[in-house]
Amino acid sequence: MTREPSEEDILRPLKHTSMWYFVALGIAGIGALIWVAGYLWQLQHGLAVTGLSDWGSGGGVTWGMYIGLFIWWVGIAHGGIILSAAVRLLGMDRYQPVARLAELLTIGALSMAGLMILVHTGRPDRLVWSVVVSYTETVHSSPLVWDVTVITLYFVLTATYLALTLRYDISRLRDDLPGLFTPFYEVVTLGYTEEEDPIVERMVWWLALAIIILAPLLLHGGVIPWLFQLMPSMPGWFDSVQGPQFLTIALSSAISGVIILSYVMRARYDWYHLLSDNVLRGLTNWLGLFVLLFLWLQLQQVISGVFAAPISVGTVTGAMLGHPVYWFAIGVSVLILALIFASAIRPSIWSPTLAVVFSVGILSATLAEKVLFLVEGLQYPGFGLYAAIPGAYFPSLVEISAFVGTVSMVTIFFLVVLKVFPVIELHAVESHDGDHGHAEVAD
Amino acid sequence: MVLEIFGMVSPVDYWEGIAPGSWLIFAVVLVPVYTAVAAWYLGKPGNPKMATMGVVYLVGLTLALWVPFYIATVLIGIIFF
Repeated sequence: MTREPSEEDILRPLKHTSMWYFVALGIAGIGALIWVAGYLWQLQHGLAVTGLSDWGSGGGVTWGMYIGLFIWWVGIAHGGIILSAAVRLLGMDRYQPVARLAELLTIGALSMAGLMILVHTGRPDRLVWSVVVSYTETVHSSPLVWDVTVITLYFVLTATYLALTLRYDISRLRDDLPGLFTPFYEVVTLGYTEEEDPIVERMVWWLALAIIILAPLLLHGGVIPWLFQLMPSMPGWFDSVQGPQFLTIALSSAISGVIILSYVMRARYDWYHLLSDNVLRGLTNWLGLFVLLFLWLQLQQVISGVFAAPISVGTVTGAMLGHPVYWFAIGVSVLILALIFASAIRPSIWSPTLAVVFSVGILSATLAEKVLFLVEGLQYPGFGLYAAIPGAYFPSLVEISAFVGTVSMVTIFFLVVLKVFPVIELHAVESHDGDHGHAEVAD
Repeated sequence: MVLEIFGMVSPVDYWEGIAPGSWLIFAVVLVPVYTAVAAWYLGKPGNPKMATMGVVYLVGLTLALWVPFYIATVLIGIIFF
């Protein structure tokens, strides 16, 4: 018999805390502290501890893993809200139980992306001076300022979206929520009346429309790649295919993040009927589509770079094709794509655990590809300025600690949110009950 | 006489007048946000009070993000420099 989702299901994380919760919190806490130690070391001795300061000590590489992580986290952030907006705009109700988890992933991941920019500035006060104080000058001509503008916009739109949808849930579930966070609930539901429900629903619809245009087309397919593709001095970057290329990587890593999150959540909170195999299978198929597009755009880049390219472009393409990290990223992506196709032909191949293995593989491949893109872009400039810079780039321990720390901090963020409000929308339970009568769309 | 529809023209100087960033941010990137906010006020169902609440969220969250950064920056300046 199929289990019907209930309010009790979505309240479970708020009412029960297992030993595993504290174990996860402890491990993530240690990971976060490792990064804090690394960052304090950097603040004390300067960005030089990473080798990324001045001209960069490793072959002229000044943007290393920090900026690689920035792109990676923005990418993960990206799909979260896209998925949620698609549920609202396109009626893909099957994914409604994942929607809020995905929105939260956007907020957590975007915060980490912003943190990486802050950390990479060396002195944290530089961010405000270069972005806020001089905004009226720099917005005209600085892709970095465009980037911070759109990321702020994305963060604010997502948080507004989440805040508006929380009003409905919190006002109805208020009696079952922990008393500790009463001030938060009061602020979120300030002035709430049931008459506002259809109005807020419509407002959120418009926000979803704004986000679904802004995030893919103007953020990860826009200002993020423009940080690179607008630099004529870097032949590895100066290429208008970067917009769609970044977007496919973002969508692939974002869907991977959502798959892992859904897998862990359903196992921990017995949500197999909410985050069903069908949901995970559907997400895996979307992952396959985005990986296919990623590989197709790689082909475009490679064929342009090897056929009759200018010497500078040919050189950086050759360096990319000669690097094992590139073949790791492409090999993993091809293998996963083949397996996703195979599981479409023979469904018995697929399993939820395999979907998680695919997701971890794609997240590793996308991080590797983006760090290599950054590093080789800088190592093969179109001029000889860096020619005398010795060495090769390898991420310093401080940068690696940032990877550990950011993953840990996103984990802590989720562990905290689980105890504050339901991470599955009440609508998702009600629509299963037939309260809202949404039509199930074949997606 | 041949009408030269596709004849050579003088290239546009993109940096003359409005710089790319200005139209990119204010006339392209922000269009979805302008649209959403306009729809909150003009669309149905809707009411101005709820629309204003939405705008307060947008503005409030932006300030909540950057004002503490600004204060931290000023404090860093006072303490360390």
